[in-house]
Amino acid sequence: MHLDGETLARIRDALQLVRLAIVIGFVVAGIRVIRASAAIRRRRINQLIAYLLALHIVIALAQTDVWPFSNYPMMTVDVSDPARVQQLPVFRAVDQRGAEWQVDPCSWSPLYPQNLTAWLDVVGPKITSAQRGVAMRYLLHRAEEARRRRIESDRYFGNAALLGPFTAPDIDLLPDVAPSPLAFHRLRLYRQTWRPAQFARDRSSVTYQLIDEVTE
Amino acid sequence: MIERWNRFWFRPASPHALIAARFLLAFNALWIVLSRPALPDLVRWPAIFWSDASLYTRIRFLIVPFPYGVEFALYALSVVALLFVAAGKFVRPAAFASAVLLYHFADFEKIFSSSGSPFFRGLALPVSGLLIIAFAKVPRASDESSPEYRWPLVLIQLLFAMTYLMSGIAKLRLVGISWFRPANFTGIVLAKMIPDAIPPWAQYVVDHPPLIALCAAGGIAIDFFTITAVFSRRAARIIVPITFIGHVLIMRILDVFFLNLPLLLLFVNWEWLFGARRERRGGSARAAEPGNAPAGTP
Repeated sequence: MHLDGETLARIRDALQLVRLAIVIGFVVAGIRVIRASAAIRRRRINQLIAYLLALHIVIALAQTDVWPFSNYPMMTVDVSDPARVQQLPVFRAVDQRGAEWQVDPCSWSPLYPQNLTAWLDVVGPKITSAQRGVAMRYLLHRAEEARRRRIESDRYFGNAALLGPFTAPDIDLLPDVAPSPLAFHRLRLYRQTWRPAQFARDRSSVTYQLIDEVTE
Repeated sequence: MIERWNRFWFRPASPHALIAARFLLAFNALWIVLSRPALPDLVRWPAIFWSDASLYTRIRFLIVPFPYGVEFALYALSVVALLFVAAGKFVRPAAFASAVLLYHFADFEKIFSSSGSPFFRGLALPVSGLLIIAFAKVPRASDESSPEYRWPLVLIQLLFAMTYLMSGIAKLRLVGISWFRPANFTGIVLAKMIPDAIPPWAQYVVDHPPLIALCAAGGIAIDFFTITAVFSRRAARIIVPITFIGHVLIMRILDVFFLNLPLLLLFVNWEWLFGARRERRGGSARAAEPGNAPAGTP
C-alpha cells in the first residue's frame, strides 16, 4: 500500500494523540487503584501492572515510542562499513580578527548546540533565508553573551546557573571550549564531513562546507 | 502461575525500600530540572524556532505554550513539588503534580524539531515512577511490612530495567544480531569520535580489537541481563555493579552520559540497610539501660 505524504503526515499527527491517550489510560488505571475499595484493590493493581506489561510488549513489537514508555532506540545503527562517510552540522563563532571558535556549550541553554544543529538541519531548508537570519542572529547574540560570561570566569550561567559544576550534563558529553578574548561578530554554520576510519588515523581529514553565515 | 505472580508482586515488604525509591526518583528529577533552569525561557525565543513544532506534538506534551510568567511558575511549582516528594510531605498530590509538570517540560528540549521523543533525556523514569508513587499507598518508616509496599517498588524497578531490555530489543529489531558484532561496535566507537569531541578512551579501544569484543559482550550483558536484578537479589549483586562500570566505560569511550544513573540505587537492599541501622540503634539503647551497661562503665 502506498500512502502520499499528506496522508502520512495526518497519520503521524493522529498517532501523537493516540500516544497521549495511552498515557492518560495509564493515569486512569492508577486513579482506579487509588479509588478502589479493599475488596477490589488487588484486582485494580493487577490491571495497572498488566496495562504496563502489555504496553511494553506492543512497544517492543511495533518499535514505537509512547513516552514516558519508550523503545529506547539508542544507537540502533549498522555502522560496520569502514568506508562509511559521516556528516555533522556545526557552528563556529567568528571574532573581530576573523578567527573561528567553537561555541560555548551553555550558550543556548536550555538547549545544547546539537539540538540547534538538528533543528537547522530539519527546519533550515523549509524556511526563508531571512527567517534563518533571524534565528542565527539570535544564536550569535547568545553565543557572545556566553563568551563574555565565561571570560569573566562566571561558572553559574545558562544550564549551570543554579548548580554550577554539579549541573547534570547533556546525554552527549561535550568538552569545555576555550573562550575567545575578543567579541564574536559573526556566526557560521558548517557541514563537517569525514570518514570515521580515516579520521581515527588522521585528525586533519575533515572537510568543512559553509552552509550559512550571519553578521551581527 | 497465579501463586508465583502473587508472590512476586505482593509478598509483604518493609516500607523502607519504597521510601528510598521515592527519594531517589525525586532527587534524580530535581537534579535534571535544576540543571535546566532556562526551560521556561524557551517560550520567549523568536517565533521562528517554534515554526516546525507540530501542533499535535505540542498537544501530546501539554505544551500550549503559556506566557513566560506562567511557564516559570509551573517550573517553580515542579521544583517545590519534587522537594515535597523527597521530604515525604503531601506525597500523593506532590508526586502527581510533579509527574504531570515534568511530562510537560520533558519535550521542551526536542520540541523545536518535533523529532522523536525525549527518551534518554532523563525524565522518562521519574515521570512514570512518580506516577506510580502517587498511585501507591504512602509508606511510613514505622509501618509494618505489607504487600502495598512491594508492588510499586517492583514496578518502578521493572521500568528502570526495561530501559536496558527495550534498548537491546530495539537493536535486534531495527538492526539485527549484527549490531553486536565487534565490527559494528568498532563503527559505533568511531562514529562517536567526532571532530569537535573525541571521547578520551575511544582511540585506545579502537586500537585494541580484544577490548572491542569485550565491550560488545558487556553491551549484551547490560542490555539483556540488567532485568534479572528485578527478580533476584543475588543477580542484582552481580549485574548492578557491572551495569555501573558499563556506564563509566560508556562515558569514557562514547561520551554518552546516562542521566538516570543514580537510579541504579533502586536495587540496593534498603530493607536490610534500615533494618541493620535499627538493630544497631536498638542494641545501643539496650546497652544504655542500667542492667546492660558494658563492663568498666561506672
